[in-house]
Amino acid sequence: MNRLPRLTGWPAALCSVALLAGLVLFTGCGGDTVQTVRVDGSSTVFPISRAAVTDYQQENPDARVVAGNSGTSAGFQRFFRGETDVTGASRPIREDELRRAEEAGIEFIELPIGYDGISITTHPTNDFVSCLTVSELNAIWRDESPVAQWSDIREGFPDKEIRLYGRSSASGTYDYFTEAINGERGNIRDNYNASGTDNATVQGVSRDQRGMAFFGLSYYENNSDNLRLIAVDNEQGEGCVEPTQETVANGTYQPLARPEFIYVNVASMQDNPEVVSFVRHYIANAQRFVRQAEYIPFEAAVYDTVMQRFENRTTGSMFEGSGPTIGVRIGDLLDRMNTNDAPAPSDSTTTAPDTTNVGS
Amino acid sequence: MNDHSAFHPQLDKRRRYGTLIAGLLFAATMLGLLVLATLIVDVVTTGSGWLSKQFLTGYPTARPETSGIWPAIVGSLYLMLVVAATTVPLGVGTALYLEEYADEGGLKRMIQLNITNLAGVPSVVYGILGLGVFVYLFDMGSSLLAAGLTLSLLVLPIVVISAQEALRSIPQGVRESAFALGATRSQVIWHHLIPMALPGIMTGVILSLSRAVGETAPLVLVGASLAINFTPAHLLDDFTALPMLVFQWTEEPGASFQELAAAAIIVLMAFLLLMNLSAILLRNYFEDQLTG
Repeated sequence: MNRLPRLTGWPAALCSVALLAGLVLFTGCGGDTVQTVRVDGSSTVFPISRAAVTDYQQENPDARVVAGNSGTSAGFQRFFRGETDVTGASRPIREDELRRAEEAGIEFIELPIGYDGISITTHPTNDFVSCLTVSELNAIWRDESPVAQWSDIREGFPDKEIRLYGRSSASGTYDYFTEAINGERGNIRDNYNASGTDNATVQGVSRDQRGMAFFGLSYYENNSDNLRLIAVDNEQGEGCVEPTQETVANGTYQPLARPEFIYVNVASMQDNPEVVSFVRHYIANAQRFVRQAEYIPFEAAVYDTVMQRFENRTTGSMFEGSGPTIGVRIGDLLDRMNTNDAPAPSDSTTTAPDTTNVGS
Repeated sequence: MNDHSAFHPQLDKRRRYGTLIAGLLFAATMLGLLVLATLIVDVVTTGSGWLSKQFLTGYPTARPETSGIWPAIVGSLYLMLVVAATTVPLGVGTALYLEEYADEGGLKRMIQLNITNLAGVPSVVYGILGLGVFVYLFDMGSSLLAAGLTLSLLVLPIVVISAQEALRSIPQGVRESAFALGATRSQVIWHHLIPMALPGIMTGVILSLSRAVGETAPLVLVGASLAINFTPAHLLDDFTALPMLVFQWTEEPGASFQELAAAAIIVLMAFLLLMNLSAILLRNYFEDQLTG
């Protein structure tokens, strides 16, 4: 009557292998002498950080460096909990986040590492738009915008429905775009097709003859055959400017270009010397990493200032909690870094130039 | 004869109707298979060119040509071990309690209702729970253990329900005969019910593992790494998993990374196929033992 199954034969072998593997996993806990360097944060900055991380890994095979991309805000949350040593951000730290950092006793160094542009695009067959002004963009995208047809934007545009595509509120691109064009983070009409990824937005507009979209510039460059790039006129006398490596880097493509940052935890640098050597490597080769990630690097001299800021352990934010800051050109960035680096700023006249928002 | 003339069989019409329905049902089946076939063909044509030893044994880098998925393969495998180690005792235990011990009544019905509902909760919600409880409250960090436990919660209801069904399908006579011969409840469970329900339980466990291995949202929330140059050495170590890399690579702007994602999907599907195959083999093995 012994017909009931028992663990014999190959299933038994399979199970014991699984158990053994489990045991190895459990008992492997002893050897964690090398500390791990953890990098997280913005998904926009991630490709740059990944280039830095893998390059560093290749040169230092024994170092343990990992990178994730939780997003700017979630990344800061982990950073304040001391879980990560370096966090990427596609906008400067916000005031509420500064307060939380202070409560958590986290001191950080803020380092700009490159530029990213936001592109405005339409379907390639669209032949009537080539340039839009910031106020036109604002009229199209702002909350409760009445624009329903292309002709509502400018006289002479056809009486055709306009369909809008863009990133959803989870992204730094959304934060920056709404701030730059509509004057306030999160101010945007509610009837546009919001996607979680740039690729989905690209897919949307490249298949819709009446579409218009905003997303990261590198996504335009990779899909330029299926898209039409729209120049932007910021109405400050520079006329229509198309986003290119050059116009983004020299600051003429504004307001839709923004610097990207990494934040380094000062306590981590003391606990784990690997963090210092990793960040040094990151800044020293930043031009290469930024290019590899298809963003736009600063000039070499700017990275010298960034490196100085890191070596001087200049803590705190040069934006003092303003969050997404519009119209930060390379000169502004250098001014801010220099002002912030100075041992004791004498008065407020030396502080950074006005960063009044464009738009309504 | 009168009767016969009053009845209009319309046999031809009914037969045609029957054939039509059968055809429609066949089409419905084929549609599902067609979608699967399209997916496989699409993924294999895009991704198979990237499958290489370097891809399978290397580490993810910033360049598609040098990127590999080794830590993700190991990570996914370890995750499955954590999920199996926690869901089997918890899931089978719950099923045994509900089917063999719990009194019929309000409490049991409430538990049952909750388990059924939990099975339908979206995985992001489990991810948020995992982040709040395992990562933050229990301070496990973004570790293999935190992610494994989160995935365990996600599939636990499936394991419970399938184990319950396996137990329920055992004829009541088996229990009664054993009791009649003086067996205690735990003897009945250990000597009769578990062995008889084993094929069903195994199938449920392995199917739920296949579900867990493909989940992305909970891992994203728990904070799995994407660039990593080691495989996890212990339960609280950093890790990555196959769906994480697939998810990241589909978000990249360049076409090469998307092809790389397809290659990773092939590996993930091979993983799934292997698990389902072992589910079938295990079930057949135990069924043979029962009947043989």
